[in-house]
Amino acid sequence: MASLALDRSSPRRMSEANRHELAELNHRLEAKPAARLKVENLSVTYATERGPFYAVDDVSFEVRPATNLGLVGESGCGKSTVVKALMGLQPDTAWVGGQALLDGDNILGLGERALQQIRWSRISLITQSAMNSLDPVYCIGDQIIEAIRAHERVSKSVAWARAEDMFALVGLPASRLFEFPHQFSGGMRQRTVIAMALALNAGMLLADEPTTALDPIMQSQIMSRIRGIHEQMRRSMILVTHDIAVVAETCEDTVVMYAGQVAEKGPTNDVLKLPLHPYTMGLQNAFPRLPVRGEPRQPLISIPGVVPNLHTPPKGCRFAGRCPFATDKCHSEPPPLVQVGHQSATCHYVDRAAEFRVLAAQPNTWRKTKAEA
Amino acid sequence: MSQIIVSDADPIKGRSVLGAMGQSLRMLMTDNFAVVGVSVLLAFAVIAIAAPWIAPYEPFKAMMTESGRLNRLDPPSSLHLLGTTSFGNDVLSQFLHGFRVALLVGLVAAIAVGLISTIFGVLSGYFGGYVDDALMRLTDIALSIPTLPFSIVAVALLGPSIENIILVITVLFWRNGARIIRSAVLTERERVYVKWARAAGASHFHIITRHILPNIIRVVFLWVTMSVAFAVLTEASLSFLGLGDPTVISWGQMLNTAFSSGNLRTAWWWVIPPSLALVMLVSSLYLIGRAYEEQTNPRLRRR
Amino acid sequence: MRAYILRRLAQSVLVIWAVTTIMFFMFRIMPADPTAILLERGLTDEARQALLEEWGLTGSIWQQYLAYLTNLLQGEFGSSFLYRKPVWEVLTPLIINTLWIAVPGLLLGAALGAVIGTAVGWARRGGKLERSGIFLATVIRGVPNFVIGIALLTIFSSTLGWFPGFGMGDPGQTVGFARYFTLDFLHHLALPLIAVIIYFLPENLLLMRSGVVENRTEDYIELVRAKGVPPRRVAWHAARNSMLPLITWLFPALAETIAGIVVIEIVFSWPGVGRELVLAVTRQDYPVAQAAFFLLAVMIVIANLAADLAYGKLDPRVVYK
Repeated sequence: MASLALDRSSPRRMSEANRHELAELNHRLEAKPAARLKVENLSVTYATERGPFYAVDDVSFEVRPATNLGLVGESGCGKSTVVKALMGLQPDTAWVGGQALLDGDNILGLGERALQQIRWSRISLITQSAMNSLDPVYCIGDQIIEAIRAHERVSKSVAWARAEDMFALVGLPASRLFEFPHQFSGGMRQRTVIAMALALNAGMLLADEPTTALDPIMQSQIMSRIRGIHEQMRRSMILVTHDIAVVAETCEDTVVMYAGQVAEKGPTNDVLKLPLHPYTMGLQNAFPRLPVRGEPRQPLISIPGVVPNLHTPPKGCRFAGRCPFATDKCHSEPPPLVQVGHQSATCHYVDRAAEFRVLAAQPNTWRKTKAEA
Repeated sequence: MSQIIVSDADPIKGRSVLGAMGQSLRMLMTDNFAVVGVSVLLAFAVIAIAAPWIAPYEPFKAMMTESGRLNRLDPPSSLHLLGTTSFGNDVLSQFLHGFRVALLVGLVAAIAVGLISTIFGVLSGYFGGYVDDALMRLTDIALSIPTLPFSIVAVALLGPSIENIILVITVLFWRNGARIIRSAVLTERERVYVKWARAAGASHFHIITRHILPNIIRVVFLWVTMSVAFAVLTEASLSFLGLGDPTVISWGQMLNTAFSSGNLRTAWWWVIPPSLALVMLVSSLYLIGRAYEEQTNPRLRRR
Repeated sequence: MRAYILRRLAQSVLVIWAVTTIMFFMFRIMPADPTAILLERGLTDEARQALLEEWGLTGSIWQQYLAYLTNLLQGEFGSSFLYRKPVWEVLTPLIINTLWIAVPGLLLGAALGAVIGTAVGWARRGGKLERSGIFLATVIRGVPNFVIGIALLTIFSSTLGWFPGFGMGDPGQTVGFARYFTLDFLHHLALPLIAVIIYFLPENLLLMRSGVVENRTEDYIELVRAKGVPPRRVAWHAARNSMLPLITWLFPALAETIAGIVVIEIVFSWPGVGRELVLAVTRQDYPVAQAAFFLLAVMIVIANLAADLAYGKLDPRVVYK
């Protein structure tokens, strides 16, 4: 509970034995390599009162070791569902198909025991900083050492020392470990969950919209911290966000999701500079760019329409209803995943991508689209 | 207890209290346990009303055997379906008459308590300010009085009669409900449509009767249900302790006589029916109350 | 924290004062003349007047009230009409007896109820454990405490003969404080204690259950699971967060259970304060009745205070505000 039998006045005073144990712990943890994650044909279907809900459909991607992968898409595209499924946190009413190979081991469909073992020690989660993410009745330190001691047999003081190190990593003073979540500001809470996620030096980090709940200044601070950690600790990470700008700055690879499917994926540079999928082209337009002197102002173009109902997903391409380049084929046949270099997109007309890119930059293209409700 | 109660009515005109009651009852019927509870209650009510006609004997009449002696502690037979007491009274007749007392006390107490609690809660919550402070001080003082000891002393001092028992119950039980209803009223008062109605010039009376009351009806029902249960339990406890109305036969009193005559072990026919009836009555009320609680607290619903 | 404690203490004192005042006025409205019982034993008028003065029954109502309060503060409850002894002498040994069933009964009832309630709250929604748990708890909650007592008595004492059903100890046993530590005492204690536990448990169970059900869908629980913490400990997080609303909603049940001990003591002929209250009231021994009532009210206030303090200790937000 909230009280530990520690000498609280001087956190750094540890016995020789404890210092030894701490060194061993750090040694063990730091030996963990960055993980490689191969997601293959991941599908998540919810059983609801109105029938099955196909939240995620046949999603595949790979996270190379020590790289960041940005998982982008609008609300309801299934990106959070993917993350939850990877941690085994999907609700009981969900059916999960496919596999996710973390360093060769499939982490989907594991029993509770096995899940407990890999959670946090091999794959950990950075949640949003909402007040609700942390247990209000336990102090922060206790919550971090709970994560540590669930996997490593160390004494409380050693675990606490590690928690202090994690706090130092995110720039928080060790004395604040004794405080409770309600005493922290939003930015501090976000840094806390980051520190907690790093506590066991998991090879794979899942960051689920870590900056959505923060103001822009906080956002950039946190993101630069995440970048710093990325450089320093060389972990693999999946960064889930709806903010393309964040992905552009932080991630080596990008996966764009739409309506539960992968629309496009590939190296960030390629995907953002030369998108293959009309949706990605539309996404780029939706983010305002600062005007450049001398050039005409870029108009703010949004994609009209809404995401299709995933209780009864459309037969063909799921984006067809909102796509300005859709043909009858798009409405009737589901598009294949076509690879171009390191990039790939699920579109019938990948070969015409260059042409589409030019058109997509013009606002008229999008206004002409009659979107399905 | 947080509530999300949606009013699907005209924001200015509101809806009627009766309509809200009906809707609440309909929602109740969707809970299996509540249906069981209501059925039991209805059955009990029917028996209570019919008791004087279906009881085979007078409850206090001493039964004689053929040889002219008092028919004491007779196990169940064709003549006396539930046997006789140590005073030679027919248990079945006593048992049936017990239904009347239980439901009478329950009903009257529930209405009285419900009315007083609601009035206090509404006045306090709606008007706030000094009214609220004064009423809540009063409530807090009342809340600090231990129920049973107080009732024991009060009934002993006033004299053991059914009216006194009901009076004591009423005086004691409005206090819990007042607070609960007050917080429900506070929530309702802040609703947007109440402010609209005020802006449209509706009177306090109109707002209270057509906006606040219909939306707190579920809370009131819940509270009334619990009050009936508490009233029945209190009357039974008092009677069991020997402070009940000697002219009226109630289940608690049956148990008191059985207990003090020292025949608990042998006269199961005397002990089990009133005990069982009490448990069934109170449990039914609790099951109904629980169903209401699940409905008024949306976070408890199945996710 | 200290301010919190002091506030609660002050409130408790206020409550006790309110209760005693109400008690005072209640006893003054009684229709019967308390000294009638004494007159039968042939007192002269002067002696009667002297007794009336001694018991503070003369003078205006406000004089009596003042006398009453000062007496109370000095712990002076007067003398029992019946026993002809100071009330204190009559009641003091009984207080401990009552505490013997009240304190362990409340603590065990709360602890067991909380543990089972957590299990039921954590169980699969709509599953067997949940439905049967809720149903059983609700039904048992509906059993009046004297029925619980009678049932225990009939089954375990009369029929099975495992426990005695009467009193606190067999006659001829050790007297004085030592008797509380004999096996015989525990043997007699068992049934009334179990009765109190059974009476108090369902409320705790249901309150803890609804708290856990509410909390288990919270985001922080998900994060605790994600940390790879074993399921039992995850449930403990939910339970720990539910303890606060549990305590808040528990106060009425706490008071009712202590008040209900009156009935349990009667059923088991347990020589405690509650039983004495009923006996005194029926025998019109008003000083004893008054004092017994006062003691029960004080017990309830102390129990409430303890719960309040536990609340303050459990919720870091309340104290640091």
